[in-house]
Amino acid sequence: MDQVPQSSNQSDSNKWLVRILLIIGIGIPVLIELFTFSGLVSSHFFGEAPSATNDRRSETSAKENIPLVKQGDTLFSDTDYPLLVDTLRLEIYPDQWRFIMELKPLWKPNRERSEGVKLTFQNLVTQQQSLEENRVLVWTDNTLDEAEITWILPTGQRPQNAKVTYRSTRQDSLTGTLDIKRHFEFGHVPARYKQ
Amino acid sequence: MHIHRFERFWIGVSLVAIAIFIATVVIGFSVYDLRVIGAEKTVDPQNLQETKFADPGVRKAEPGSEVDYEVYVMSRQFMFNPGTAEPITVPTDAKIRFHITSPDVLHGFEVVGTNLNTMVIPGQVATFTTRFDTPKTYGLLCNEYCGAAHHVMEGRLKVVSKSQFNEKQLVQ
Amino acid sequence: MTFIDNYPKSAKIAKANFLVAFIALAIGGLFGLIQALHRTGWARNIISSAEYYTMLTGHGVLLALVFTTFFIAGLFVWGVTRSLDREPENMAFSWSWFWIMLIGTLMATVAILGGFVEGSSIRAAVLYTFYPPMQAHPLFYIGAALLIIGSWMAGADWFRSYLAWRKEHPDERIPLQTYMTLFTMLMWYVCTVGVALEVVVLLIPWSLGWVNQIDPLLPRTLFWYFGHAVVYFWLLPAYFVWYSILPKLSGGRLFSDSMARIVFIIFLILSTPVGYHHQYADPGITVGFKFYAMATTLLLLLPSLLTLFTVVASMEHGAKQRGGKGYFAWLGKLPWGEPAFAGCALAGIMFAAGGFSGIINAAMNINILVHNTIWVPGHFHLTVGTAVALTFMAISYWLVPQLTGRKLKNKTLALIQPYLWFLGMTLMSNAMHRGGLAGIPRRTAEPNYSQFDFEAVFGTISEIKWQIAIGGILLTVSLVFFLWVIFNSWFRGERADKPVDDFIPAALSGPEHAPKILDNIKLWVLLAIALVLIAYSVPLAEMVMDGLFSPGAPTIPV
Ligand code: HEM
Ligand SMILES: [Cu+2]
Ligand SMILES: [Cu+2]
Repeated sequence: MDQVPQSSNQSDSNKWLVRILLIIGIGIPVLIELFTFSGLVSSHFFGEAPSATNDRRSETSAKENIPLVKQGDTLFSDTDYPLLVDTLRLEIYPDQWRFIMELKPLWKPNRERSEGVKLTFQNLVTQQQSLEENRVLVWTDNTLDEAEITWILPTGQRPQNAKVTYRSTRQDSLTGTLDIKRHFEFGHVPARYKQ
Repeated sequence: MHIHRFERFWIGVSLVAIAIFIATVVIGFSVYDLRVIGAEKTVDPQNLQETKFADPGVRKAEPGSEVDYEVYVMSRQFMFNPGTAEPITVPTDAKIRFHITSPDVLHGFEVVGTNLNTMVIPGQVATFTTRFDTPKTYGLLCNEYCGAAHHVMEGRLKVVSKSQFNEKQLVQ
Repeated sequence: MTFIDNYPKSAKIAKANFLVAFIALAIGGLFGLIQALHRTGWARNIISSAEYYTMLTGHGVLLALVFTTFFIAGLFVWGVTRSLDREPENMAFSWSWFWIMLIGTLMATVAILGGFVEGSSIRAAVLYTFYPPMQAHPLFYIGAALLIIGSWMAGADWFRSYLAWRKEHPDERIPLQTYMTLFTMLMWYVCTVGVALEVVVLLIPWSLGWVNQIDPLLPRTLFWYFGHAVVYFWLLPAYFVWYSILPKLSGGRLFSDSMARIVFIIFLILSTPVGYHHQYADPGITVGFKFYAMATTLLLLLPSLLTLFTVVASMEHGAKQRGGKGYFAWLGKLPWGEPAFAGCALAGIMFAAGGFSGIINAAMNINILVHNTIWVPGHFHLTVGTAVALTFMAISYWLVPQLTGRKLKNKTLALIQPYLWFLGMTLMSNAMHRGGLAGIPRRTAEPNYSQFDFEAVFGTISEIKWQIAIGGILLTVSLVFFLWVIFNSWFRGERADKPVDDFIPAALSGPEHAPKILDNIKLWVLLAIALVLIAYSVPLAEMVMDGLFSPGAPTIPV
């Protein structure tokens, strides 16, 4: 019967290769598993229980420096003419995702003092691209109307941030125009499926 | 048939190990109250407006109920209601029963870092009872693929101390 | 003389199956790499996050269903032919099952890849579990049905060969390789009944619009009736290799032929009634039935532990033939420099690790901690992704030369390949398990949330991501090595009369020591059916009684 191993005369270089492969290919995995095991054991006996809170936001990533824009937020609350984010949502259609933002002035502009407000979105950045199209919203007179902007995004794209400029023109003694440039970061935008 | 002595020993060891594994689960069930979801009730996913899911949220349990609060959560593409827009808020030291269903596709309901984890299946109501000892805010996510925006389906579960819990926010 | 010279017709059909399997492996592996990079945020611009799910469907279907099924078909053609010493009874029939499987595969693949074409209505981003009410294009379901039907015909083909052989050898024991093939296929028949009913009775009519609502729980339950046994359909062919070829590759002989038979019988009778263990977290299924499934699942550890014993004992025998000594020192005498041996052995080691995490999954109240987290892919990349896939790749280094009559080329690459896979998989799977403990979900394009962060049990989340990405890259490099070696040998290898030593010696304790009852096919099939009825008749009746399609959910196309 043919039981003789066919490869007993491996060449020397092959022997070296096998040795290296065994050391790297099995040694590293064994080390990884040992680390994992000791990590699990020590965190079980000495560590605190894992927590799932978000109370650590402040210490985490830099994106927290800029507050995220959420539905219900008031934007430009430091101006005479703050804007309320009435709606912020992502509508999912089979072939496109629409990012919809509805803004509404918190109160009527004081006619004496203000001519109104112009809000310009200079771009909208998603994970993969930046839509460089200007979108402008204008409130004048006594309108408290809601204004809506819709961006049509390719499927799968979520809004990340946008560059906006806010211009309000005042007519009182302070006069002049107030120009503010801001950077909006969008956090979680609730998504809804549409057909 | 001839079975080698070592092999017989190995079979014995294997069977004992298997028995231990089964016993572990049984002990978890009976002693530590680690349970899994069972069959509760079915609903018509196209007629949820006639159920309590039409007005989801946290409710005070009926008097005489074995729990203190009932939480109705509607999971739908791609949000938890409540949960996503505003957190699900419940008090500590109370028996809380969750009821979760879906009007559209399968979802998951996972309270991150805990063993509150269930499938949400249209037509079925997932029901489980739990209790929280300490105030804490947990992350909530959908862990069953539910469509192109599955990864944006998230929310929060906020446990506040009993004294700070505002019963006025309950669904009547 | 080697296989292709003795059985040219079988060689041809086995090669056709392998070719499809390797192409599926190549595409599926590429998708795997992109997923690993996308999920971890290493490269989010190759595909969009919506397309991620189309890709994941492709990865699951092409690897778990197509690569496995075609490779298994090729392997079994080889094993049945050589162990019965006869080619298929009717080549036209053999080619017809191959073509039906291939056409089904192409239909399903077109439906999936349609998802990458903008505006296409042919889409199937339903993942390889295709839970309704998410609906794919009908091509997807029809293709899946054809793949299954083709595999049934393949099984029938091997039974035909067996019956014809039996006529000529009325008193002989069924040769081991044929025995293992037949029992694997019997299990396949028992379990595919569920998915065939699901697809043909429920999903195809529904996807064609003949009914417009569907009960999500019933098809899901039918899927998992099939869905656990299918993992044994992948695994048993790896066992086939470990029992019947690996002992020879390690220089020895199989330890016990009867133990191999017993193991396959246990798998036949216990594989299907365990499906609920994928539904521990489902509402709508009574805890009692989940418990029954759990006990059965854990009992299924037994045949795998028996296999471990027999395989290790056979390898020890081999090593001692080669001059190995001692309790452990013999391990060093194994042919670690032979790619086919090294791959199978490494696959076996990884399967043991997969078994550990499998026990956690099986324990139903512990399972809830990891249910649908990335832990789960971490687990099955050890089992199907390595124990099965690496065994298949490794044994190809030994089979393809026999089937083509050409010597293996690039032996050094072939040798590095399984070690690289082992290393890459350790990195990826270890990190996936740890991510799962932190609660990171599976099947999620961007597991980053704005309302909370994950916290690793130890270490950091970003370290876990690194590990997954690097592991995925190493796996892909290993896969490229494999494909290069195989295709280079297949089409450019040097012709040889005996490209490999393909003689398989008899077992140390042969079939003459095995009780006759082990070969009583009817008895074991009836027992298997009885256990399935106990597990499934009541719950299924409950789900069907309130109407096949209700409680009905509206259709959601993807
Ligand atoms: C190049 C090697 C591979 C890489 C980098 C890879 C990567 C991945 C990743 C990252 C996932 C998780 C995706 C998610 O849940 O979001 C996944 C899922 C999966 N992989 Fe792999 N994989 C590889 C090879 C394999 C092999 C060889 C098989 C089986 C033969 C396999 C079968 C699966 C299955 C069945 C899933 C689950 C799909 C689902 O959840 O629907 N993979 N793979
Ligand atoms: Cu989801
Ligand atoms: Cu399973």
